[in-house]
Amino acid sequence: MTGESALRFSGLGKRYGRRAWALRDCTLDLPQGNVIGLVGANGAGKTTLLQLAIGLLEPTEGTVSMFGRPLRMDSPAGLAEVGFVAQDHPLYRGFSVADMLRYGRSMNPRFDQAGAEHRLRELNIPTEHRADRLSGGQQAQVALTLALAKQPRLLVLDEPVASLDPLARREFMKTLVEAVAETDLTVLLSSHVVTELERVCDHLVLLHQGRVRLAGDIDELLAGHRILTGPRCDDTAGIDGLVAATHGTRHSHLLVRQPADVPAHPRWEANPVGLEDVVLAYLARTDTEPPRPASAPPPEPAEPGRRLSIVTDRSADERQA
Amino acid sequence: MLWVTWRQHRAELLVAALLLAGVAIPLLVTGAAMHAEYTTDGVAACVAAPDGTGCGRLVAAFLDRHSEWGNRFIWATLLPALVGVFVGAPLLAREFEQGTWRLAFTQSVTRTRWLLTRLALVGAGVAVLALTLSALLTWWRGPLDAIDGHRLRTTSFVVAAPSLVAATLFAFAVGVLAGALLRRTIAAMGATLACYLAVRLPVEEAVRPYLLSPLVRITEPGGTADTGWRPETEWVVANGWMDATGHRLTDREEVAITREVYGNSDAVYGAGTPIERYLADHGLRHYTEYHPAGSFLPMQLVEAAAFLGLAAVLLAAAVWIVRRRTA
Repeated sequence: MTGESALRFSGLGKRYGRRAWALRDCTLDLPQGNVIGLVGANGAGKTTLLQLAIGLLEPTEGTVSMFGRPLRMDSPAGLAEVGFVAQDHPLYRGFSVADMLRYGRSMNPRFDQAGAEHRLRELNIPTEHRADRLSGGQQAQVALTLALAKQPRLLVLDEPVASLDPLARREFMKTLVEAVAETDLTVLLSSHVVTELERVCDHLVLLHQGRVRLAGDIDELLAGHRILTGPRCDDTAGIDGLVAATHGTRHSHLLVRQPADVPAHPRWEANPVGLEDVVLAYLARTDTEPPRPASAPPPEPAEPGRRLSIVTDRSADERQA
Repeated sequence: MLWVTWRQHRAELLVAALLLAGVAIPLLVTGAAMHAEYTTDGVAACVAAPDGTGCGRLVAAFLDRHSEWGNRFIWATLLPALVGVFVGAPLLAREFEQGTWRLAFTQSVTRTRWLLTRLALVGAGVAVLALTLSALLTWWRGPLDAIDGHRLRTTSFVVAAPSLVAATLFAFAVGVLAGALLRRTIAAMGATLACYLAVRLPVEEAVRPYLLSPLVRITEPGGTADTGWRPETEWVVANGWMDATGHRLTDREEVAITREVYGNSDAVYGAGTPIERYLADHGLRHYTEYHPAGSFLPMQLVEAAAFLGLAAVLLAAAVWIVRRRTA
């Protein structure tokens, strides 16, 4: 079922009170059945975007549609389509794990009790224990189990592994990947650990200072960027699609948005790029205009599918004002 | 939702049941003994036929033994405060404080239904608690109320079911709204206590006497009504002297007259005293503003309606806030 849109944001913006915009001009189309990673520094607007996506927040401007319909989080049917695990994986204090499962069962018309019990058994989490006395990793697993047992079409996870130790992180991601493999669940998760995302995600959205700087299929993003290495060159103005330049004493490394198969100028040696390099290069940029892809910017594809979506920033001047 | 509400509030229910039992057992034991004494000692007979011999002494002795405890029931006014602070305030504040609202609002139950179910069930629970306590206390005070027929007095009034149940629901609503606004349990508890007292104390002191307009009786000086051993059944909210034009003398004017008649010594009341002769000579009369004993039920209903109306407004505000509440 990939290709159809799970979430579509148009012109989405959120402002808390009269403060600066937490998120602005967000126009995105997130494909169904994918695992979508949302990266950005702290305060980039990741949590805001996730909470807008599931209706925990109301947008200040713009709209959200989920599976082709406007987001309706005031109806049980709309709520049933979404599973959400908040950043601190909240569970009720004093509830046992079994109580939490019963909670899920009585709050949802559709709840996979047997599947949830099975998963907890595999994870060696005893259901008679108090949920708030479990380790952080186990609490996260219980929260994920609850969200999965709801059998949502869209699962949203806000920094699910940020508070976990490396082992618990791997366990959590393993549970997630196994659960996703069995279904056509769309997963949207935020993280600032890029290596974590590279392993599990098909699609990436990069937020920086409240704006979407890069969004697209990870394979296509990697194919569309490369590193050019050559003798030091301080005048980089003429280089197509330059994202970031680092200069050593004798050499320059340029991360450019250029298709890997386009021949480079003979002075440069072209090398493929890793996801972390791309993310860091975009996060380090201080300007607001993302570089246009070099040589023949891809026209709007006729078929939605796996495409590279570039979000341009139309209102840089407005924001200055 | 039923199970969830039960699971989230069962500890409160248990504590409430234990506290109620702790109050009910001594009340039932002492109340049964007093009710027995009321009939066997002949006090009941005196109340039925007030002219019986020795009634004054008999009834006075009975009241001496029991009215002190009966008046301590004024502490029942703590119940609304306890319910507001320990049941109302944490209901939403704890969800916001511990982050579980994000869990609750992303299940397949709409926020409105989630909140209305919990408010209805927990509200019904505290209403039953208040009703039970009110029934116990009112039953205990039965003989005392029968003797003086004056249930408008504060203790009888505040333990009566309409007033106590409505005040309890009002305090519960204050707590719920404070929790929705402040989102911190301790802060919401403090605010609830402060707001409840800020409303309740003026109601006791200033509002209740004028919930209904009091009747006015004007009597000529020199006459005193002797009610015998039976106390007044009326609730006198104001009295004093007035002149022929209907002007009510101020405290200052009354003090001036008293000084004029007695010098600085204390006034002595009674039909033949100099003050009564002074009033008669100067065309002054007594006036009394009072509520007759029959106003008990109307006043209960007015007070209950006011508290319930406020509770409804506050709960509606809490629902509105929770529906809009985001991140």
